[in-house]
Amino acid sequence: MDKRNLLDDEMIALLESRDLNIRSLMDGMFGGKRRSAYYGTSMEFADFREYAPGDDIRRIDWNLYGRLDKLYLKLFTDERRQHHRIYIDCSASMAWGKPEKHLTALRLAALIGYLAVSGMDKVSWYALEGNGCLSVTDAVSSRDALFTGLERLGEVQCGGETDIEASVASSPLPGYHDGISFIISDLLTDSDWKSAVDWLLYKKQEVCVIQVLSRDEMAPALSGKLHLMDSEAETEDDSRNRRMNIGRQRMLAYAAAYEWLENDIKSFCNKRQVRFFSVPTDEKLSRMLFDKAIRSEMIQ
Amino acid sequence: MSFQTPSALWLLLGVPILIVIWLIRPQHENRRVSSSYIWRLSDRFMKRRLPLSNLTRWLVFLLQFLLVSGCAILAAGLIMGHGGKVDYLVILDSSASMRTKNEDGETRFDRAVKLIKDLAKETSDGHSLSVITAGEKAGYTVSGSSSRTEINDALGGLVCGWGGSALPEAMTLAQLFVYEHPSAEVVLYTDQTVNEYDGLSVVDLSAEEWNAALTDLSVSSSGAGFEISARLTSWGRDERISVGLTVNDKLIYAENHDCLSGTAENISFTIGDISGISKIEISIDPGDALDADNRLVYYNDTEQTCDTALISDTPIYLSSAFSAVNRGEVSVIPSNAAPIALQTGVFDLYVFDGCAPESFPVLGTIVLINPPSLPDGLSSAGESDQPGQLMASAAGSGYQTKLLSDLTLDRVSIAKHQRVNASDDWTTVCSVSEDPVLLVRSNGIGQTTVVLLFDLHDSNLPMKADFVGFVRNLLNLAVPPLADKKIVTVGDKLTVTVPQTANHLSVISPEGETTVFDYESEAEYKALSAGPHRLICDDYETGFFAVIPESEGHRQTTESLSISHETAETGAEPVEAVSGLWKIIAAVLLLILLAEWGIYIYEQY
Repeated sequence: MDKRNLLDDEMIALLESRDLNIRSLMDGMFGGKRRSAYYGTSMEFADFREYAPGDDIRRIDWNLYGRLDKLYLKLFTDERRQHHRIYIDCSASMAWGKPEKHLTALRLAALIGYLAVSGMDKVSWYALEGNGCLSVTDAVSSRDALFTGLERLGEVQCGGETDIEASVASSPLPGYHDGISFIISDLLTDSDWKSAVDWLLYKKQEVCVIQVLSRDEMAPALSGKLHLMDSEAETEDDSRNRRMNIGRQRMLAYAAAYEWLENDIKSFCNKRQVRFFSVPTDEKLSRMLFDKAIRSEMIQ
Repeated sequence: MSFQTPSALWLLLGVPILIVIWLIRPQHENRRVSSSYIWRLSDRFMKRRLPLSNLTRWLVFLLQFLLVSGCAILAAGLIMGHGGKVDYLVILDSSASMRTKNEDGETRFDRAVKLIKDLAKETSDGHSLSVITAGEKAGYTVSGSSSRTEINDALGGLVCGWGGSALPEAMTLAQLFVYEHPSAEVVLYTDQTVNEYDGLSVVDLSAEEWNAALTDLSVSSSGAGFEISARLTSWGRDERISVGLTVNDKLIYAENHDCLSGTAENISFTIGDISGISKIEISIDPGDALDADNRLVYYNDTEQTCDTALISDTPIYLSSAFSAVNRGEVSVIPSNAAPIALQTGVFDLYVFDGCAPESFPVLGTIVLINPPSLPDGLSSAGESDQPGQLMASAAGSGYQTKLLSDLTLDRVSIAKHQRVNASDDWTTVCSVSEDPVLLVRSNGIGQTTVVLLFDLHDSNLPMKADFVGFVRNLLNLAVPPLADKKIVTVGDKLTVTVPQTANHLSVISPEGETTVFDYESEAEYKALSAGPHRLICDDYETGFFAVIPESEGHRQTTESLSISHETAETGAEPVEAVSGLWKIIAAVLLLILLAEWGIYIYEQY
């Protein structure tokens, strides 16, 4: 897959003026431009503290000494580089939709990666497959490395079954109080993805959940007597398969179930201050960017 | 539990067909989706709308199954034997054989009545009971009564008959009853063997009791005197049976007969002269189960006298003939003395030979021989000198039988005769050259007038032996026997004749029931009980004996009895019934389709 397919020039141009929105002060690593919880050498004033022997006398605020006749040091916030992690659900169900949910997920991952690098942060992509969490590339922090990483990202395939909880938990470098962890999935799974979110929050990561759904899933156009076979089911006898007489009543029930599912996800995320938005695959990426991502305060 | 139309239960074949349809019907089409997660989740919301949605598929099947089964049972017309109101219909055989007693002296009829009374106890549960007795006639004794008291009263008054069993008539009545009450339970209490029965239950009251029966009594003259014969049959076992001959109520002879079971044994007795004997009885006393056929009685009644007035100026032929017959007094009266003589005397028979009275006697039979003036209804058409043979009229009648009994009319010629035109109330008995010459008429009060339209001197009839017979027949016409049979089977009719000169005739049955006949020349009497019947006419008494039907002496067999519990319409019009069945089948299939479509549409929209 060509990298341009994931992130074209038009989109890059739109992203130039955007940045990831990190709500809290993270630890991060040296060299970035994100405000951190530490005092450092940036130009942004943070606080005063009394002078102690050994402190750098260049940071004494002499004006304050003149008024209070006591020595105070002037503290400035430290700016650090954050490390964002993007977990992409690569289960078989992601291969469905027009266009495929998987492609939309990858484009979103590329978009976030570009914003991260633009903000002088690092970004890592992880493919969630089975119970594992495969690193697509090493952490990317430069634009050159970004596009190389996007090539690798474009090669990610989906298939099989994914346990989001186990996969995220098996992440080699989940980070701690360092950047945003994105989970991109259709969330149509029996696995407990909420535990994965809780686990990331436990790691003091900011979490952003992006649900990718196809139009067929949001409003299916099925009817009649069907044996619905889950794409992740390997056999016909799989418990996830269902025989149904799909009619008006069933469609109403589906709509209600879908609405309930969305509300449940939103409710869960709101309670934990996790940012969430859902995107249909047939929506333009620019619309995703400005309508969903900005509204959900994922980017600014 | 039973069915009115069991054949409709074939509809239940629809159930396995339904199962096969469900097995081979198109399965759900496989459709792969990205995830069935929301679909599975929707089950919960389906349940809110249709709580039994998971069971819908089975509900459809259950509904169709119930439809098929229900329609089949409806079409078959389920009759619940218990739980609902039951109309019991009892057919009680009350033929003579039901009088057979068991070792305890209880008759089969009594046992049947007890069983019916036991059945009547159920009427307190709301059931109804009807009883049809099948004796000589079949009829309702109890009709749809739910009152135990009423039923017991009716059953208490029942008496077993002496004749045969009108079982076919009873079955017809029962069938009509069942047409009106298709759920009725029919029970037959009988001692007959019923090989096959359908639609009713049969209670066999026979206990293979032993019975000896006397039948076929006859009295005939023989060279040695009179021979009295009968047949003796032992039913059920070989037995030595003592047979007694009783004459005028005195036992005069007895002998033993070894009877093989089921084989008739001829019995005969000879009596030198039966004159003076009024009653002959053959009897057995074997201690068998049925008494009614252990006795046979023959009444040897003497002929009643017939007083005759012979008005003739040349009575030689007639007086000789009357003397030869010798039945009562014959008064020969010259024609010129007749008016006075007839005013003072009463006769049973008036014979006017060559003359006619100015006014006819009111009572008695009148014979006019070659009358100078014709009675009413006859008009003269001249005389015929053409000789001819006396011929019996082609049209048979009762008078012909009576007047020409035992006559040959062989070469009886008439030289000349009167020709008459007769009105319709005259019956021609004999004719010559198609001219009626012997005519009979009976008036409204039973007086008979016989007219001979030729002079006896112009005929060779008086020279023939038939002439005496003809005179005897005239006397019998004037004073007939009181009964035409001496032995009669119960249920059969015999003819009793009230002489015109008699006041009345009484028939007294063995039970003492008296039947009186007045002002009837002939009447029919039906014997309803077995045994000796007395016949009393004024001072004269004789009798006849009624026997039970021979078949009642032993166990009878009926091949098959059936009661159809179908409705009258279906029974009468089977073609329409079959047509109706197809309509039901079509309706069932339609309902099956509609049921599934209905649920399918409900699910879809």
